[in-house]
Amino acid sequence: MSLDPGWTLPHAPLISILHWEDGCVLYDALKTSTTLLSPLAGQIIERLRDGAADTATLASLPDAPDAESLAGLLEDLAVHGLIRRLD
Amino acid sequence: MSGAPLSSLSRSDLQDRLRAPDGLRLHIGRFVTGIRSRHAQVADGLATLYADYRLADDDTFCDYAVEVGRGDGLRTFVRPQSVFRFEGMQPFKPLPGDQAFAMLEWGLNWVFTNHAQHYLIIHAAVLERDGQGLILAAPPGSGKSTLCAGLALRGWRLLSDELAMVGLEDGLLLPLPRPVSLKNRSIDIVRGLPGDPVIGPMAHDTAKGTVAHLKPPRSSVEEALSRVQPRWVVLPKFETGSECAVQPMGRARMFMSLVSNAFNYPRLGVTGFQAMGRLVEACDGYTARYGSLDQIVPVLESICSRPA
Repeated sequence: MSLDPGWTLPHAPLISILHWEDGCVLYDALKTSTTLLSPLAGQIIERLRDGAADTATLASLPDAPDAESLAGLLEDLAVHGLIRRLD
Repeated sequence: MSGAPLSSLSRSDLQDRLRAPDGLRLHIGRFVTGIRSRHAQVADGLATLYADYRLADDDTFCDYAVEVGRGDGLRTFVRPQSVFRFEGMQPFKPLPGDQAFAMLEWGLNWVFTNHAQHYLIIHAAVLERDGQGLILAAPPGSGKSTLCAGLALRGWRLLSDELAMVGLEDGLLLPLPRPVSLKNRSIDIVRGLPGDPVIGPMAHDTAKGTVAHLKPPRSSVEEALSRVQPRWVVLPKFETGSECAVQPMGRARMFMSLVSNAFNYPRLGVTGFQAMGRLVEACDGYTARYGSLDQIVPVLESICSRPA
């Protein structure tokens, strides 16, 4: 049994995202905020739009870094309210 | 007289219209603007800088009716002020009477910025060459208007020196050619450029220093209904003594830079996000630091000569 309950994207239907080589921009219609993200952060957000995923799943994304860096990135995204850890 | 240029009016006809209840009605881009004023300087500025703009029919719907008044009571005669009014509002504090024309220009900027909400509006100069649009987006003090004036005097079509208006549906740039606002040293720099620059009334001791405006090229005024495909975004930064450095800019960064220079992006919600995305997708972006027009103009003209 996994100890990682996984991650989710709050109010996913209200999130729009555009990707480019140098990064991506995310628009949150609930907060009416626009955020510049790294390409990897954009990949994570895009993956979570399809549904919740655990850290192992996110670690399999094409440009995913080592486990420690990924964990740090996920925490950063959560601190900024862009993703949420599942209870 | 409808459809005729403002230059066809005699001085007394111009003043009569400015004092009439409906004001002087002019086509400015796709908008009809009614202007009322008893300030001689407003008449002077309009005669000099708006000479090529077409007069609108009396029965044409007026999109925006504005007034630059002289203040109230005795002050009207003793020490006139410049008081900008729009639809019963007085959005700015009065200015000295000798800043009346500058007040009109600032007031019109405010009106278009806050009321033309069918467009994504970015604080930027916009020019066109060979059917493709160049957006110079920057905060005040970046040399944007001086660069814009320099390019317009070299034959670039002027769409605006203040407002990039991007259609929310088609993504095209809406021209709104108006006089180019110049400040302090840039007035003499532009006055010395080839291309027969015509400079309007000077306003001294404004909050921005000395301000004057460059007359837009007649061809730009005449083509004011022809929209333009955006192609380049440049973030200019004038620095005295600087070497010229032009660097490509990624689209995500370009997006955020344009957002920081946009007037109504937050108000448009996801529609603004999508419009900004289409704009960024259509354009190549650059940052440009430079120390003189002689440095930056050839570089920009080289970049904007490359095929799409």
